[in-house]
Amino acid sequence: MTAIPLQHALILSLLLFGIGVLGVFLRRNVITVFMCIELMLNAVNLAFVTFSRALGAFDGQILVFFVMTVAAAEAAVGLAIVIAMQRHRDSLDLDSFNLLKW
Amino acid sequence: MNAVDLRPAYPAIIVAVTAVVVLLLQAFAGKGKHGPYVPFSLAGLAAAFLATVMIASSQERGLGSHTGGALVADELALFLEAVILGVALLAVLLSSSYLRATNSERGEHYALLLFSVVGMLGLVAVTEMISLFVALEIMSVALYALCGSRRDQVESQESAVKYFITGAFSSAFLLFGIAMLYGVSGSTSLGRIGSAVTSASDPNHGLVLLGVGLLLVGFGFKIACVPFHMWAPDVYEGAPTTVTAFMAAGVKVAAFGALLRVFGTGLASLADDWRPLVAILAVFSMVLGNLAALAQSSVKRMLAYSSVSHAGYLLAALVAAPRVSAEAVIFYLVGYAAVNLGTFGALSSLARDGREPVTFDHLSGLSRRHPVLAAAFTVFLISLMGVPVSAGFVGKFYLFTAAVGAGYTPLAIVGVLMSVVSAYYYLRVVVHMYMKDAPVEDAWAPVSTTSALALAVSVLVVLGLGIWPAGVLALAHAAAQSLL
Repeated sequence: MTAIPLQHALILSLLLFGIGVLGVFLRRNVITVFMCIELMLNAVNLAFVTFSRALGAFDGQILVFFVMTVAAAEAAVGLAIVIAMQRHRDSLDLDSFNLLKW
Repeated sequence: MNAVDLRPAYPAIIVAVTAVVVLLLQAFAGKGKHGPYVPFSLAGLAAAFLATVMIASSQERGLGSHTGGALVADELALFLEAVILGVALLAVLLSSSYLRATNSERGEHYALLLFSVVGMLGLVAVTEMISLFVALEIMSVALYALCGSRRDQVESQESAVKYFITGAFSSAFLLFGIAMLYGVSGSTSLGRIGSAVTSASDPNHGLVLLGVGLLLVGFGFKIACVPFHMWAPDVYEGAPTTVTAFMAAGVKVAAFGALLRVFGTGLASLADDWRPLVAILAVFSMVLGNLAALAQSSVKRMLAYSSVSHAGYLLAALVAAPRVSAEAVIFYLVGYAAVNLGTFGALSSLARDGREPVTFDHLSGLSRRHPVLAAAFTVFLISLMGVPVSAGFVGKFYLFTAAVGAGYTPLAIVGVLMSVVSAYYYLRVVVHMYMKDAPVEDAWAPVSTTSALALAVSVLVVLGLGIWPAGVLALAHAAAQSLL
């Protein structure tokens, strides 16, 4: 069995990150945008695991645990905020959140 | 295996325990009743402040660094921790009357504020990237919830959603930057990253630059510099005003503290690579922040854009990193934190029955009904302009001197010119307060004792730093030395 080369995993990670960034800019639904951000975080996780394996150092994999935990906490708070918003308004479209503007 | 030295984390631990206690108070207070949140929060923050002072006065230096700890208690960390705790104390004082006036008094509010302080305390003391990320998120996640804490107000909810989306987005960039630097250096420790990325002839130099750039994007969002500032006006305007005060003061101090650590120590060897980038961000922030502030009709929004421009002034000094700039940045942050608490705090202290002054017209004729408050507000605005005898003047002087010293004279020129432009919109507030009549005889609330205390302390800090800067300058100098 041959190991997956470092470059391939990194390119995949970059691609996933790029898809996430594009999604944040192109999608207008708050939940979808949030999922795109999660995709970016997971792309970063992939990069950390890849580097960690290539370097033989464990710090990267430890960091991944922290990222996952923080992402979960962020999701909890974020979704709560979205629900609170939904109570005031029927739409979850980011473009409709335009009260604060000059 | 060595025992872990927890001493650098004592202030943060004390604040975290206090936050949990306040949460429990809320849980046991019973329906419709309020527990003694404010005294408990104040006591916890004061205890943490004492702990910071005690660690600072003990002769051991660089606590934690030799035990492989993630947090360090050097002069920089201790000084900024004291500043952050001071900010939090004043923010709690301001919140207590504001929450009553807006009918949103809850234990969670104080608990979240304290949790956010825990993150800030960690952020200025980090020595490696894992704790940097965790501290940043502790601070931010609590702030997302705080922004949306006025559940009856749709503006507050909107600001929370916007802050949450941009905050999470920027964290991802920051993390990707950390991943790149980790990949090149094989370590998350700032020291080891610093020694691993020194040589520019390194074949991995492209990866290093990508990492540095992404880190800068992540931090750019947190400190709200152009072009990563678009969330700031919306969030500052929509969030409850005392939260805005806390955020504008605390987050700036914490984020610039972390920025100094990461770019001043860890990536100092790459200064030639990131200096031009920082200079560009500084120019854009100073110019666009000030120009956009000119066009605002909401005072909160104007102050938000002004905070963007002040991020620019601070970045202008950062190009002189590490030594001279750190001193200037640290000194400026103290005065700037007091001013931010003061301006937003003054607005919040007038709140009554869920209403508060928002536009320039709302402040018309304020000098007649609230002469002392109007005078205090004027002091803060004068400091923001950078007029002598205020903290802002001395601070800006050192910032621009640092920029000139690093050979970036144009930056200082742009900064001074833009400060002149800023006088227009700051003075507009003064004109409204002193030279216009109130449109309707609708008096704002009388300023409560707690708010008055917080505002008085802010005024004293602003004037004190302007008239007698030597004491804090010496502390800032010592803090800057510990970075090296």
